[in-house]
Amino acid sequence: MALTETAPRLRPVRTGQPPARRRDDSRLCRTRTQRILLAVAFVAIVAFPLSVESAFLISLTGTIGIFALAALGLNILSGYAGQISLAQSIFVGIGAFAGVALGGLAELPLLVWLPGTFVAGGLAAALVAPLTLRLKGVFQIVLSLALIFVGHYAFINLPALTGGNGGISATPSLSLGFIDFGELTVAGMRYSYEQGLFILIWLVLAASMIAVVNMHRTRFGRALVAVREAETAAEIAGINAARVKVQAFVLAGAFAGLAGGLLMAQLRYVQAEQFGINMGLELLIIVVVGGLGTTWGPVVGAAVISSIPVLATQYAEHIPFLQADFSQSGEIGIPVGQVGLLIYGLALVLVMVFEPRGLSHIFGAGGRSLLRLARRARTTSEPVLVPQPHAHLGGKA
Amino acid sequence: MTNLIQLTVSGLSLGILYALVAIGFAVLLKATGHFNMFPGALVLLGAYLTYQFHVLWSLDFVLAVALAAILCAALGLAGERLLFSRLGGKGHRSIEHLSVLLVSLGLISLAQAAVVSVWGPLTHLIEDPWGLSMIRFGGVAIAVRDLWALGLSLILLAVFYLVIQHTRVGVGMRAVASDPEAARAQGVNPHVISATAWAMCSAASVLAGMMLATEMGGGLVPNLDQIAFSALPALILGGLSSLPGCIYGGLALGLVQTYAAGYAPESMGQGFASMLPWVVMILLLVVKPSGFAKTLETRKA
Amino acid sequence: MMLRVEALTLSFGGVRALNEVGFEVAEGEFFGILGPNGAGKTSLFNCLSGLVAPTGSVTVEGTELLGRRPHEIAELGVARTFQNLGLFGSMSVTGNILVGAHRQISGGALSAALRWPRTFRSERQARERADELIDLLGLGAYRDATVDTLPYGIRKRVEIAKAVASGPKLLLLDEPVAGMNHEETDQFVEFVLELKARMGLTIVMIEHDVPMVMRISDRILALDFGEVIGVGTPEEIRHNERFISAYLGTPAGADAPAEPQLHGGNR
Repeated sequence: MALTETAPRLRPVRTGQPPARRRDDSRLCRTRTQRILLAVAFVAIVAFPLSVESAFLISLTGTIGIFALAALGLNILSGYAGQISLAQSIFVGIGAFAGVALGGLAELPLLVWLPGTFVAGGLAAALVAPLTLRLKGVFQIVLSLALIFVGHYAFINLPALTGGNGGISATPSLSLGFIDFGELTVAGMRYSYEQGLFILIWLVLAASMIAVVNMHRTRFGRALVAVREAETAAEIAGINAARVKVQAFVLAGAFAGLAGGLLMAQLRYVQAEQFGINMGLELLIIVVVGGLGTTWGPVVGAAVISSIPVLATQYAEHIPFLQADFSQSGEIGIPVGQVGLLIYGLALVLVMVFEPRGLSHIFGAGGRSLLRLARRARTTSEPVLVPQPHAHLGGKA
Repeated sequence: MTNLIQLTVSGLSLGILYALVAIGFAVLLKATGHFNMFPGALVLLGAYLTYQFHVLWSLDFVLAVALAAILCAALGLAGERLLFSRLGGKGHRSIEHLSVLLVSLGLISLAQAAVVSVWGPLTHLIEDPWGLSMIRFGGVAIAVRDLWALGLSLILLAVFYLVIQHTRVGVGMRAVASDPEAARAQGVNPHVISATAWAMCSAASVLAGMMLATEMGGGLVPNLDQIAFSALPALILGGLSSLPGCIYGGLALGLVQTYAAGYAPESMGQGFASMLPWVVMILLLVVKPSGFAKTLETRKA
Repeated sequence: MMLRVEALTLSFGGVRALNEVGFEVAEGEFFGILGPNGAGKTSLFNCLSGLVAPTGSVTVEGTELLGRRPHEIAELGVARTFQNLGLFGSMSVTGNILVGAHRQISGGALSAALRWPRTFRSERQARERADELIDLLGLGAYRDATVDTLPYGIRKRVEIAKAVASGPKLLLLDEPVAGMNHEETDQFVEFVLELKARMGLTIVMIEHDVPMVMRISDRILALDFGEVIGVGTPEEIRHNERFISAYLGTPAGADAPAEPQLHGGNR
């Protein structure tokens, strides 16, 4: 009896009423909950850095935002368009050095130099796109490795812009005129450069994510996925496959460039060495581990992949089997500097083997089931209890 | 003139080592149908194991290299059975065919972390029997290590040739490379094929890794695997899965790089020589991408 | 004239897949193409949609198609279906239909990123049209289902919905009822005729089901070994000597099942 009674009550809750008007999937927020969450996120971007004092935490979360931004770009290319590249780091570097040139050397305002890094990354990508997109699979990956080596050569041999091997420092302006993220003052309180920069980084990231979601859910995004899944059929449907692939590559480079500009602003010192194969690999691992072709994958991936090595370095003495440095030779342990590589490798292997859809899928599934539980608890707070049927069955058994 | 001869010999010896590494990649691609970067880790581990056996445990040098090669082959085969062969079709739709590659990249990271954890970040000497000794023919000074590198590599390549051309396993391997389904239908045992492939890959990678880590080659460093990546242009130049192609590609790039190091003017900038093989590869891909892409399509299918 | 094909010749390494093929299709016509396996039917479609490079001439309302890329041909209002389906497996039914409607939606990456109102209006209109198509083809239950998970028959319908979603003038159907039973075939004929009437389509269809082609087509082209062996009304084709002999001498169009005749025919 209990079963037949509860079933009709629960069903509409689980599956949702068939909407009277069909839902428009191109909208940014499909439910009220999403709209509220989006607003909360924007408030948090401002409130978090202003209420957190730890410089370590601010710089860590800032770094996560920067890597998430670069990974967001790579996700367009690898997740949506299905092209693999290890060379995303080179475009980050191009953005960083463009930022040095525009924001540091030329002392241009924020509204010029930051978009400038976006354009620089995009232009550089447009330059190599015709070549790399003609290739497939292994050739494409090896070519992306080649871009890293050639890019590195270019970086160290343009010392006027990059400082050569030694690197170059820059102090770009973070001022929008009416508001200066570099020396933020709210209600008489002065905040640090890092706190202001955090807000800038995460606002740029949020805007970029919204832009990417908008693209993904409309004509351009569908074209990308269609080309990935069946290129000929996509062409027959009127999609210029070559063009959308180039666009994806340019967008990937542009977001990488933007991330590079912000990285330059965060470190105020950049060096060619940073933008090598390790960063390229890290970014690829972020998108794969976070979840290819997902909205939150780059952020989740960056939060996990980029923060663990930093945390390990910070708390090395409290973690067993970690060596803070090499002075204690003879002692068995993993040097702190290697934790990054270890985590990247381990995370990549585990995700590929156990959950190729990535961490954001795991988190998403977890979140949805929590939400379901919460809703069930709310709707069943009246007399009809969900466990009843189970109790009956248990009684019979 | 003497300079040219000296550069040619060291270019050929560098080239043959590139060729060995490229063959390590190519053999696996042929036998398993997947591009696997794990040989890069074998280059690294092979050199460090040689160091462990020869220097730290004072085993005979030849024995140390042989043991390292056997261990690496076992490691590669274990990776194949436990990981790579189980990845088929797994992964996000856009990277299905690259899951092996990605996992192998992860394993390379792990190998690098392991190497630094165990043996430290500093450069070691593997105490190879050649050191920095030179032979003089007239005015030409040639490193003994270069001659051994060439000699041993050629012997190994001859063995590979015999295995592929004249043994049942070799015939099976060629059958698998041209049509895996048909080969299986005709009773070719894929386990035997992959075991042989990993053995060949390991022998080539460990020999190359050991030679690259000699004192003459610059010593044993933890980023030896990235030096191994420099062999990838040779693989591309050689057309991905052709063994003679890898040899030609490797030798050509070794010579290009060494001549550039010897003759390129200062104005070409730092790191010009080591970047040049990549530029050659890019130019080749610009000129003839379709021909190569075609080879790949058939491999992927 | 909607479609005019002249002296169309296609060779693959010495083998002539099509030899001097020529025919015309009038606006609003339902034009069937018959021929045994290997007669060059799909090659002909591949020429029309720009996937191969033949010699000769193909014009749609006077515009030359040869030398144009597939997506440019689609822009001219030519849509096609694939015999082995050209769907995008991980996308929903709606998604596939919207890809089909690609040329009817405005806006690129930038205008989408910036939420340009015009772009999103066009997107919304496309979704409404997609919904109409979904209802028309009875796909309502599968609207948000991932295409990979659907049974073959449903996917065939999605394939047609995707093709007509572009609002084509000329629709090329490549063996649309292969693998369907009698009942499904009848259903298909019904909704294709309905679509044709509603959207003012001109349809060219390749099909093995001879009785069905005879019943539905205004005119028929018979191909064998890459050559035209007859063009005419179903009645004319039914009595065409070369067509009859291509189908092993049995009177084609008789109620005998088509498949056995075909397999006995060639190769």
